[in-house]
Amino acid sequence: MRLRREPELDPNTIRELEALDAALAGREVAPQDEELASLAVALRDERPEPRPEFALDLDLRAREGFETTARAARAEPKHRPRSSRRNWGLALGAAASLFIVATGVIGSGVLDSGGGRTAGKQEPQVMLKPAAPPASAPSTVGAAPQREAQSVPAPAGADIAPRAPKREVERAASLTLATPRDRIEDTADDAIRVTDRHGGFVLNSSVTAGEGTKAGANLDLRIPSTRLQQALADLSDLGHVRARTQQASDITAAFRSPRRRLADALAERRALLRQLARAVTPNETAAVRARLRAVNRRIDRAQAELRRLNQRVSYSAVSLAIEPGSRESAGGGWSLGDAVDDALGVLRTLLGAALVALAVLVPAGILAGFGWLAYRGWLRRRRESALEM
Amino acid sequence: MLAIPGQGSPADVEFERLYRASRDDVYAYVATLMRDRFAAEDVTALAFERAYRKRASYRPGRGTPRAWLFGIARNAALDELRRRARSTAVGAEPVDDSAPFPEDEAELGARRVAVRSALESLQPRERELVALKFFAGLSNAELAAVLRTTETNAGTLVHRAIHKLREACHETA
Repeated sequence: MRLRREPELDPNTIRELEALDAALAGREVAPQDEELASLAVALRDERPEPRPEFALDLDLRAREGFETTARAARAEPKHRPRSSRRNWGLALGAAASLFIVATGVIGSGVLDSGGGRTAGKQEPQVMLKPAAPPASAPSTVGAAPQREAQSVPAPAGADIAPRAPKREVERAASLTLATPRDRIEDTADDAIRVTDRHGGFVLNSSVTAGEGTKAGANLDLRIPSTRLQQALADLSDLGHVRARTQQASDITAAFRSPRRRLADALAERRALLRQLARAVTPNETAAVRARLRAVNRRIDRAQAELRRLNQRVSYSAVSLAIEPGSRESAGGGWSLGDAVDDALGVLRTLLGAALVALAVLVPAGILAGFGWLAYRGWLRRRRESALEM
Repeated sequence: MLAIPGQGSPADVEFERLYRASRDDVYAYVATLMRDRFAAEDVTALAFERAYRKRASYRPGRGTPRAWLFGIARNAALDELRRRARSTAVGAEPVDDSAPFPEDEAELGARRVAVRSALESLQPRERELVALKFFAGLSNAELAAVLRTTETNAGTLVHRAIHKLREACHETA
């Protein structure tokens, strides 16, 4: 495509150019162009001719397929390294492009956005909430099991200890399972067995069987936090997982006040016991005993509060809902629907990666194209400059 | 007939034909650019070697085979000119204009001397145009393809160069 219209040659120039061509071809020219024609012929006669030895040598090389000879190699010493450098440049450019693409794909999080075996299900979401307000404590059932990070009342002066305070984390999870309508009760029983096996207990449960729309089960479970992940995995095997979420809340701050109150009350109790030992009159003894009773009540309250908090840390609240579902979706294993979901997830991921790659490669390609054109222009100008030397 | 290896393929047959038709023309053009007979021989051989290696890349839509070949020769000559200019200043080979002419050809001889002198007075780009047009026998369209310009522009350049040459001849005479 030409953006500018070519200026046309004037008739006189055209005539003279045609006269030149005619003279070179040995044809007659107009009398007015005879001088020009004779100049053209004279010029042609000045043409440099190759030496016969060179012509013969070149013919021989042509016969051998123009193998590179030492002489030709001498004439081209600068080109091969340049070509090599260009190849290195291309290789570096390609590597940089790949790096950019890989960084873009990884940075975009496309690869993290799906493709798991349970695509289509909600993946566990773990959220660590900073210093959540203490929730109402559950009723104390049974003794708290040994925790990995057992919280104990800190001794007096522990707050000024140089080590960082241990974090107390309360965990919760909710799980929604689908199971055939006639298996809702069995699944609820299986869930209770799983809970028992992991050392947990059922806080509340409600099971509605039958053909009605309200068929289903809801179980409020408490599972030792150290066994939570394994218990959730076992519960997930009981049916088709429709939803699964997990939460974690940092309740370390809630422990500070009862620990401080407990430490203060214990110190006061020790002081009162010493006073009681020194008391000599019945009145003094009665007064100290009354204060001791009050301190003991404060100690009991602080300890109860700490026990409730420990309970929340030691046991995770698991809300399990069992809903009626089709046999295919409730099979518990990897069903055809799961396969379709997984396939769609993989396609989504690939499409996202391809889009990210395109977003990087298209501008890079355009830039490379401009660079190539600029390089060609520069090379051409550099070559042309040889005629000015 | 030259037996270029692999001559069975059409590309090889075409190349052989191109080589036979263009060998002396390419040399004449390159020698005019280089102004050094031996350098011209090296560059001519290099140009044919490159063209032979790249013969499969020739596209008819981008010009005649001769234009393609002269484009390769031009690049090789210009590269070599640059290299030589960088490495050492090589003076132009003196034109042998002292060759005696027979008496009956004295007028013709004077004419040739005038033409040679006029050629020497041209700028390198103009000398290149003369070489492509009158030594190599390229058409204006081929010339335009080699110089990467339009045919009209190529015609204008040739016309301008020939007029400058004619004036130089008159001055010499």
